[in-house]
Amino acid sequence: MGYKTVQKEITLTKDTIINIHLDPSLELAEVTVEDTKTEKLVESSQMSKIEIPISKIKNLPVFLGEVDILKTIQLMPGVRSGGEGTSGLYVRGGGPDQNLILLDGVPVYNVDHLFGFFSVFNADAIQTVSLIKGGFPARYGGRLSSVLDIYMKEGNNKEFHGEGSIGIISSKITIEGPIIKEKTSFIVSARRTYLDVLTLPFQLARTGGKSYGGYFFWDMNAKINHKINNKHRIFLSSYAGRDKLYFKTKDEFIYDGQNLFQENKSDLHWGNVTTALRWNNIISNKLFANTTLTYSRYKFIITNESVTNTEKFNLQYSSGIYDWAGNLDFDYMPTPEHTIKFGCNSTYHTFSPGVMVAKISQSSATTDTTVGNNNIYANEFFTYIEDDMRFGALWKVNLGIHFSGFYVKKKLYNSIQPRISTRFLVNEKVSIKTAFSKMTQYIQLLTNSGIGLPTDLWLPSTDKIKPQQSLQYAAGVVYTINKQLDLSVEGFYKTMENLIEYKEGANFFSTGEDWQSKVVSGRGWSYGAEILLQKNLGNLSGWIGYTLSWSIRQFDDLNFGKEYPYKYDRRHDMSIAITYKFNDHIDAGLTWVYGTGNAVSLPVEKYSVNTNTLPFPPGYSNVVEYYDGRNGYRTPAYHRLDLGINFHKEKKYWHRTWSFGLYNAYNRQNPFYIYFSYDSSGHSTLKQFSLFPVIPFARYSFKF
Amino acid sequence: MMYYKEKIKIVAALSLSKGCPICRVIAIITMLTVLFSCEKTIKMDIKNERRRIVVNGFLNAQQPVRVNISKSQHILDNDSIHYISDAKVYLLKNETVLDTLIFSQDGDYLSHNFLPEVGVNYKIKISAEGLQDVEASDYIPDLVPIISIDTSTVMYSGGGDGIMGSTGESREMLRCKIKFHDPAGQQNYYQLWLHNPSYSGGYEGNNTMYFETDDTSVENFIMNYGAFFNDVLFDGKNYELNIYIDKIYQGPVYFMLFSVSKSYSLYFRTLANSQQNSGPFTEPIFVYNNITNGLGIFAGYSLYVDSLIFGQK
Repeated sequence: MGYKTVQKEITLTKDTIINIHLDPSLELAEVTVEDTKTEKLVESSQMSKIEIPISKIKNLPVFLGEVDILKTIQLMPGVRSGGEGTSGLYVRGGGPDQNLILLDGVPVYNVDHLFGFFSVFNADAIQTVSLIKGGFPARYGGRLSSVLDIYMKEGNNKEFHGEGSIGIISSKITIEGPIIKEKTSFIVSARRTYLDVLTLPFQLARTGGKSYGGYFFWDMNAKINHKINNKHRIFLSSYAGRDKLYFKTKDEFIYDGQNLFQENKSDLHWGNVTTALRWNNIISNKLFANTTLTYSRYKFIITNESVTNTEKFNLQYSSGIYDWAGNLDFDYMPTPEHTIKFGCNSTYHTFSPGVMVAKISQSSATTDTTVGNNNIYANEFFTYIEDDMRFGALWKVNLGIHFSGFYVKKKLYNSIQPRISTRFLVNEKVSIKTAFSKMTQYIQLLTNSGIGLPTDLWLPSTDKIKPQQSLQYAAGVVYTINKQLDLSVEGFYKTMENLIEYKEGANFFSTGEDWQSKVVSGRGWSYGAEILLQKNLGNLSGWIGYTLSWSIRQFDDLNFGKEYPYKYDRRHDMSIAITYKFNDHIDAGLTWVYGTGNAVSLPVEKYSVNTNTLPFPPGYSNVVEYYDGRNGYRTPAYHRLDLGINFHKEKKYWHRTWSFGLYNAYNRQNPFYIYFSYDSSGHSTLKQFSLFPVIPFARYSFKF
Repeated sequence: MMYYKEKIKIVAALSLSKGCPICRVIAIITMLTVLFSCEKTIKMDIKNERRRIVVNGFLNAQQPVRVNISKSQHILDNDSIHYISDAKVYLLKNETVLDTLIFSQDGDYLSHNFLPEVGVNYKIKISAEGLQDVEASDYIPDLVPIISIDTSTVMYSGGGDGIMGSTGESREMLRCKIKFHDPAGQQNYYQLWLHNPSYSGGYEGNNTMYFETDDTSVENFIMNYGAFFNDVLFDGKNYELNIYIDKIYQGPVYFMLFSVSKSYSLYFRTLANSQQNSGPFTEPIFVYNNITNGLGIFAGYSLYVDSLIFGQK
């Protein structure tokens, strides 16, 4: 379908092979052409990069029969998830806000649906996915820990095609085709969950119609590609998605001879909208340019309405971030030994950290109040130049400089970030790579909870809060065992400055400028080794990844200034992801993950508040729990096996697939939350809460 | 009136904590996820199993020094408190021993023939068999008398944080303006606590009176502990603290103005916070501890009590 069209274009117009717009397609072609893929890994000067073909992602059912890009990325060494089911990416000891996630070149701020159980990326609409964990080329900046570059598919400009699927949690559909044959094409993709609709009757039955709640999300991707002529192309792509969690209760009772009622409605909804318009221009044989205009918006809103006989109480809290940006990027190849990229970007940010609007209506009067943080406006810009140089047959060096600046509230921050990566080809099978990057990040995510709630706030650096900075050193070896097997071993060391956290006990739900006074800043560092064995060709393919790492934080105002493990410090992390193609009709997938438990703050000791010596009677319980340092306790290890099998059949007008499988096949009770409680004989015990037992799933997909 | 109180309870239950609709939503999420989840007991793995001396002691110029000494417990230990009856407890000033405290009962150690003075820094040193020695120091701040309490009936509709804590209803309350003079040139910390012997409510019937305040200098208002504030906004001046009391209270009401040390203030604020805010979605709060090598609190305060008689028309 989409693949064939792309290949034709490569052979016809030689110049466009190196056009950025087509680069993703080139990599996809490599998956189908058997010889070139493994050599590229050894040859490239880029290290710490993971590229997973979308076809591989679609064969691994990572969560209840749903394929998911971010969950598949989490199966790679150096990348871990926050917890059971969540999509946040924690790359080489960095936080979830330290990843630059680009969809067609537009940064996406919140990549989670359902608190992270699904990501916002619909695999049916996606062409390529690549993740860079270190050795960042100079063209990327603004985040410390990773770059996830995702490109949407281009619609087929010859024929109409579509695909879709129906699963137990969600359904999706994708349609693509030409608008003007061989010139203009479109692709549209949409999906929605419906667990709320399915559980509604049960909830109403159980509560006698008095209360119900639910959750759903929908999202949509759309893209139009237009080829003006051989030298000019444009595309317009857009994404929109929305999550909603709602709850309603109703109660009627008689008090003092009066009939009284109370109705309470709460909902929390959030979502992203991104749009990109790109013009691709081949200026000459050696130079081409991309001009891009983008818009990105993330917003969440909490509303609460309470109605009684006498009054109506309405409360709304909203928070968001809005970006307008423009990019100009050039690729210049003066000689075969040099590939030069340079360009610039300017982004206008609007931060809206928290606005609360309350309305109270009583029979006597209405009170209307708006309280909240004022918007903060900031300008972020960067410029870069990088040269991927070849010195003879053995050496390749990518040398670059990224210069960025941030202007907010009359304060200007700027940063010069050198980037260098090298590759030394020991022989045709082995290469040694090293990389160094300095990164600066001007915005941060302030999070108040263990779970990645959408209420986490995106905030800019200000005159009081400095930009985050990191230095990363990486070195590794790539060994091409044979045509099918690649082994890569990498070590890294990363330092981070100006990280922020909430003060102990601070409440995020603040109004006014004072969020800055509720945070403290500190530093962090992480180091480790990653091993990845990949087999990309043949009936059996997949990878085994293992990471050994340490991730530490130190804040003067937290944990009494002592070092403590980062919450997501994971000593051992292992993933096995395998797909096996039995024949054209049947293939199966298996994933097994293992990770050392999270570091949590758990009290280990307790003592009493003596009531006789208190100057006034005690207000609460007499026992104090003592924590042995922040994040001083490890939850039990996490491990899980997922299995899936697909049955394909070619029908007259379409191709169908039935997928079946088991999530958490051996029913491991993985800790989601641990807490103290009592056993049946009244003794205190430590208990864990786990979320998903073994869950079978089924999915019906079609393609035409 | 009673219906109003019922409503407060409903709102409070839904909110989980004052001014937190997001907590409500979080509670909903928790309820929904409970549908799928399961729980089991796990073994607790603690590296360091040592126990420590726990000190609970407050210094007041009008009373002998009284300190309670006990032993800390493993978090899962279900036994009752283990008081230490054979500890050596010394009270020092400038490294000179002023008194040795004598064991009386239930872990209490008292000073005899010694009353501490305001403004002096006292140190306590304790040792007990099988446990590491501990020490702590603090002082008694100056007594700050209440100059006057002015009362008037007003319509009041909200708590200090505006919309969040209030139920939106305006109702008749008694406003009390508590006037006192703050000592100049030093950081002063205060606690205001109200006590009504005729009232049988409060935590375990301790007669704590509930009051509201929108005063900007109040740092923390904690149910059952009262209001904690400091003198950042009024150092060295006369100040009138505004509080609002429900008109249902009857009989004598005692206004207790504690002038406290920084350790005292930090201890009670973190203690109350740690017990009020708990659950899967909050960072744990470490209770302030000023005992070196041990746990607990050793802090000083001065207390001034004034009273009014309510309810008689």
